[in-house]
Amino acid sequence: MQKTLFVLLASLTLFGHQAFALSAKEIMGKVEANWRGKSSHAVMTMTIRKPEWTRTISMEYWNQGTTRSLIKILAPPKDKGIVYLRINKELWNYLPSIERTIRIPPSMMMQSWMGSNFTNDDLVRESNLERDYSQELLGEEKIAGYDSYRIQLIPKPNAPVVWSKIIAWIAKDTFVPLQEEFYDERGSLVNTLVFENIKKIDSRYFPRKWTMKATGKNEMTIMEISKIEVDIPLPPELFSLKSLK
Amino acid sequence: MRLLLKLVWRNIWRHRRRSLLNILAIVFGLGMIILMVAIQDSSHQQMIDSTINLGTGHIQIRAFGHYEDPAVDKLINNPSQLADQIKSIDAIRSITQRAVAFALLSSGRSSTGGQIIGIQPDKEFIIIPRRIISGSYLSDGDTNSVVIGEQLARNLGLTLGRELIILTQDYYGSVSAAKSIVKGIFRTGIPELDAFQVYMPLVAAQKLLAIEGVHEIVVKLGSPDNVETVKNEVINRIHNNKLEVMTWRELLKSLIQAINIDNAGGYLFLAILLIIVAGSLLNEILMSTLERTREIGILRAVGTSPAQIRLMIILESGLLGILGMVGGVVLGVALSWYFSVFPIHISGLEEAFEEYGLSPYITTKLTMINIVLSSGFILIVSLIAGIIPAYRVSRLSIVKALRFA
Repeated sequence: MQKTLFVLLASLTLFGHQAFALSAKEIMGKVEANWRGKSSHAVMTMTIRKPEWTRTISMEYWNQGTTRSLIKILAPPKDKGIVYLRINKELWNYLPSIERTIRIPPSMMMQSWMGSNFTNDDLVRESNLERDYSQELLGEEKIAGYDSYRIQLIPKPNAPVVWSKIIAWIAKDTFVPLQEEFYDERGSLVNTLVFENIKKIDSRYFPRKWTMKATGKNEMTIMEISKIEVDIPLPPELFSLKSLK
Repeated sequence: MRLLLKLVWRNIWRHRRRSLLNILAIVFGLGMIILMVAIQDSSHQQMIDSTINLGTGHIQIRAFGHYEDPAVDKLINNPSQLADQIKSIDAIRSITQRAVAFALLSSGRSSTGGQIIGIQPDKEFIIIPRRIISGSYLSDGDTNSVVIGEQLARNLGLTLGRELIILTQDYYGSVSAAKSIVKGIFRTGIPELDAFQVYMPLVAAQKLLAIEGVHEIVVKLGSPDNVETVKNEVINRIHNNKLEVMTWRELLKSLIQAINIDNAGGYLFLAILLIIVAGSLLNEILMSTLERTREIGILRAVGTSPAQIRLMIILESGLLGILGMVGGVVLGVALSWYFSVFPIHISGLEEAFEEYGLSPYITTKLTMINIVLSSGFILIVSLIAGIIPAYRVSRLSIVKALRFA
């Protein structure tokens, strides 16, 4: 009798534990669910800081699901009117100075996007933090004032990922990423992406300031979202080559 | 000693014809070597001159590291000020500024990689204006025109007045593009230029690259002789350790290496000639010492030391060498001078040569190094050729020599 009770208690504790603590995979599932809405429209500025110069580019952004997005450059005057259109894995670039649209070839995907610390590939990358990685919960930490999970993400074979490892810090309450570290195939840290200024938009949480820092270089790129609306209806023809002009 | 020299002189002319033939062999051999090296030197000089006129110039100022890795952001920020600082140097004939970048060139239908060069048409010394085959060269007021190579025009299917689309990265790493009108088409005969380069006004290139500075300040001198002195003067005047000052010798390393390889071929020819001269001299001296075995025995018997005998034989060989050398230098200099005044015209190939920026004439460039080196080797070889017989003879026993039949 005593033995039976013990087993019962033990199994209760076990179940209880499972019921309250999330696995790393479940955490990333919640992150993706919060992150990916049906559609959004945002106005943002990108500030590139390098030792020799600092430059600010402002732009407007639309997206529909995870496969279609459009970025239109508003300033500075030299780049005004440049449009980037992403449809699935393809990236198109419209240049008003020559009134032409160019498909960015695969060989240029890893090049810097508009001189920033983001690459062209960052714009089209489809990788899903839940689906394309095997996750492992490394621990819990307080970072920038938030309680967070520290999770290691190792890409699965054949996943469309250039990194060998990502370490992500995920806020416990909102499931918003707070920081991500990207490691190359030799295992050294290449980039650190920090998310700040988390605001609630409709039912979802969204960081309004993203800072990408390159390790070992005195340079960074800061994305600040000044206006954002989510889950709004967008005309499908917005994401077509015709709308680039 | 005077007696010894007298003996040497008489010994040489004992077989007048044999010695004369030997001397003549050296004269013609050396004369040809000097002429051949002079022709080679002249063609190398032409190659260097043509490369300098195709854009390299004699001295270039660039931001440190731009030569190794020509990145758009390695700039000279105050080019006009620098040009003012150095323009009073006497040896300098012209100073020009350029901006360069790699670009994707497109006609809309097809595209290819290339290099854009922003130039100051009024200050530029490059040969391109004289190589325009259709249309015209850039002028100062142009903002939207380009001059491209014939092969590039053909590859892209472009003709005069058509639009060339240039796509590149600006100073900030952002994509930058421009549409320009093809104003002229040039042909230099050098594939790297004709299929690759686009000349545009400096202001247009600066706008495209979002820069205010330039990448190169290129200096051309009146004469290339004192290029190192001028370089040091330029370094002193600009006094900026973020900038690199390079002479054409540093800029054209691969051309100079190619010339050195070509020169090595010349030295091989010289070596073959030297071996022949050495063999012929050795033969003559061995013959004449063999003939004179008894005579040498008598010389020894009357008290001439072996060292004196050795010296005599070596001097005989050396004297033949000196006579041949003097004649050879006279012949070589005369031939070189003749062909520099009356160059050989290569008929039938004029167009091919002109296309490559070379003149269709074979001419010569006589240098002191050429004369000193060629004749010096002949002299050394003729002395060495005397050593073997000299030692052989000096070791003869007097008794055996006297009995030699």
